[in-house]
Amino acid sequence: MPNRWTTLAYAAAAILVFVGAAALRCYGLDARPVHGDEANQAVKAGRLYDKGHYAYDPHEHHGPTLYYATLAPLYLSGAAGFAHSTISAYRLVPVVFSLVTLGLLLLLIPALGRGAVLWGMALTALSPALIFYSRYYIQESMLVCFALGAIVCGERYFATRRPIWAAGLGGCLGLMHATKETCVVLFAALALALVLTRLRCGWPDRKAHGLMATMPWPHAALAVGVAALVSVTLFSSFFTHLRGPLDSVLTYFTYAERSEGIGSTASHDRPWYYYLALLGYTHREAGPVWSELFGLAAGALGLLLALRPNPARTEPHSREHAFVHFLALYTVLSAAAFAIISYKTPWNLLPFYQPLLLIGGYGIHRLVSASRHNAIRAAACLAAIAGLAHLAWQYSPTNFTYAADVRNPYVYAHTSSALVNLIELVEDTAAANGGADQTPIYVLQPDGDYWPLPWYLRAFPQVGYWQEPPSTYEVPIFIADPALRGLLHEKLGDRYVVQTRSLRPAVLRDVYIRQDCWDRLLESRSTP
Amino acid sequence: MKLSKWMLFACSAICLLAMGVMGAAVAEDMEAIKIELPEPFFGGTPLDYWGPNLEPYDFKEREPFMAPKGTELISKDKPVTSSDTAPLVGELKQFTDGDKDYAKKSLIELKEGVQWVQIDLEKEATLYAICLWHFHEGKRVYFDIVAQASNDPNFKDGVTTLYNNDMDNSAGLGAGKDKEYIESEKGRLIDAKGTKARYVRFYSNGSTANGLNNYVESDVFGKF
Repeated sequence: MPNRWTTLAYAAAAILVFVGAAALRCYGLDARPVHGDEANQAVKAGRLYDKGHYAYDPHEHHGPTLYYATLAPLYLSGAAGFAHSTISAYRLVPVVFSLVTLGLLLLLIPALGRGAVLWGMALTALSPALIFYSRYYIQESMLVCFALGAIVCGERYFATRRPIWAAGLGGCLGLMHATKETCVVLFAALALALVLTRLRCGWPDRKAHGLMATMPWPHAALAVGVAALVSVTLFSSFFTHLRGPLDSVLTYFTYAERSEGIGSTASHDRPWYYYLALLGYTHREAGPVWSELFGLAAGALGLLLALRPNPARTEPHSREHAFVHFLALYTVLSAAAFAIISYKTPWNLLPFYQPLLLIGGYGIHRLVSASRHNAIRAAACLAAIAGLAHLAWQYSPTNFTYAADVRNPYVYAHTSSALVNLIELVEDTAAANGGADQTPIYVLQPDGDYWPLPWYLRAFPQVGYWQEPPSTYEVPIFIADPALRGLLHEKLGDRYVVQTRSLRPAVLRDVYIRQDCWDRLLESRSTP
Repeated sequence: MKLSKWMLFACSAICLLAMGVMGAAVAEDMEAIKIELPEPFFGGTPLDYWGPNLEPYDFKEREPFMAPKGTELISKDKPVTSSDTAPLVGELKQFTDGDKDYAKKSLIELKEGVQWVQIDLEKEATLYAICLWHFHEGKRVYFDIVAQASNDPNFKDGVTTLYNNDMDNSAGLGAGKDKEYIESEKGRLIDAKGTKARYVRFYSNGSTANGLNNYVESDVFGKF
């Protein structure tokens, strides 16, 4: 029986990890330029905030949970509308769900032990990849949170047989479905891991026969019913868009093509070891070395211990061993699935990397507690803390200095930090010519690749996004693809001043400013 | 009338002769400065940059820059300061160390926004030419390049602007009319026009690659 002081020490450590994680995730949320994917999701959430309208798009933008979850921070921020909102309010959503993930880990103490959970929390709290994408307005943090929620509820259900946990399991599965289409990979990994664990360890109920026999039909029906209710409610936009649930199934035909690298998405195809290489070692040009080798090594140790043969085959598997075996299988299966899928973006590593870090916590705990000698235990503990310190050291370069720089392994097709020059030019021109309300802007982009400009130009009510040549050329500002220089030179003549600025590295946009507006801009800038 | 025509012709001839003699004398006092150029970099992605203020890329060798005899490199190993005291890459002293290589080991990287680096020549000098390299491992255009000289280390008094291509005055130092250019191993040669100053300061505000500011080297030519 652990004594009171030890319990207090664990509680204090868990609180410290949680508070530290919150600080690291909340600090300077607006520092990084807004990625194109963040921008188009913010526009969708902003539209929902302004007009109360959302309809699931089966071709792009994933499920509805992110947008509905954003309403709370937007409301609490006091933003009068999308035009007045700040990116911090949007990024707060993944931050909150990443912290809920940390909190959920505490519910696994009965299954894993508090030492393993505490080390797992520390790894999750300090992983550069997890921190970076916890501050990124995309679905991954929510998906990781709901997947862990499903595991926690499932474990608690099988431990207690209480229907509330079955309902919780269903709710989490429904939320996973309503968050991102890649949930099917995790559903498959969860199911297969459960079957294999049952075959190997007899968990969750070694006396029962068949997987479903481990859950009585009323409880199974409750779980499925809650999952369906949550999913249908969200995909149907609270029963105002009834095609949504059907589209949430049909969308998998689109994503099946995408996963095989068909169409424009082939540019995202990567080899199977992409995620491993990204996490293991990245050193691009001058700049720091990024590495989560400590997390990977801890995870590998945890997997080895979790999947090891039962030393005494006659002994029943303990609850801890059976659950950790399930967790390890789930991690390996989901990682393998994401490795096999050709379509890869760095944030897709989160759903298997967070459970790997939890397994890593189990590995560290077993290593630290393996010896009876206090000196050896202290040395192992110090080595683990040094590994955590190395992860923490990467916080500033990852999230600030190189937050939008291609040297950062987690930066992917990111908006250039030089975009601020383009936006400043447009905003200052508008300010010198009657303000944003009085300044129409045409964005000319034949392939529609103008993101994240709709986010940055949200305060301009008169912005036209043209993929075809516009019908008129009588606006003070054009932002155009360099491929249109010939057309614009012909249409605008020498009445406009042109400045070229960066959108993304090696992706430039020309800004055309009418001569009279340009003159007023220079006049305003020369005024002290 | 005829006499005055002849007189006019004779005076003109004498003047031309005198100017020729003077020109020859001046030319004898001038010589081409010796700029050591680094190895060029072959590779990288072509840059799709264009603007009315962009100087066409010149593949030819640069014409020699003539300066009074005795003009020499006076900035080698001179102290360097910057608005960014902790560069992300490299050390400030590399700006005058003579290493102009394109490799990243020769590069200084400063944070985003308008930043400057400043050379202290340690005493007033007559400046004739400056050659500046920001980055030449690939094609880039750096924005808001301003070069100034002064005897005031804070650049508040007696500031002479030697180069300014900040067309829209976004750096806040006044709108300039000099050209934007694509960086290369040749660097940017700036005519310092005999300005007398102890300090030389260079501004920039990001590039076509990102918002960071890079510097490789600067050679200041002049006489103490």
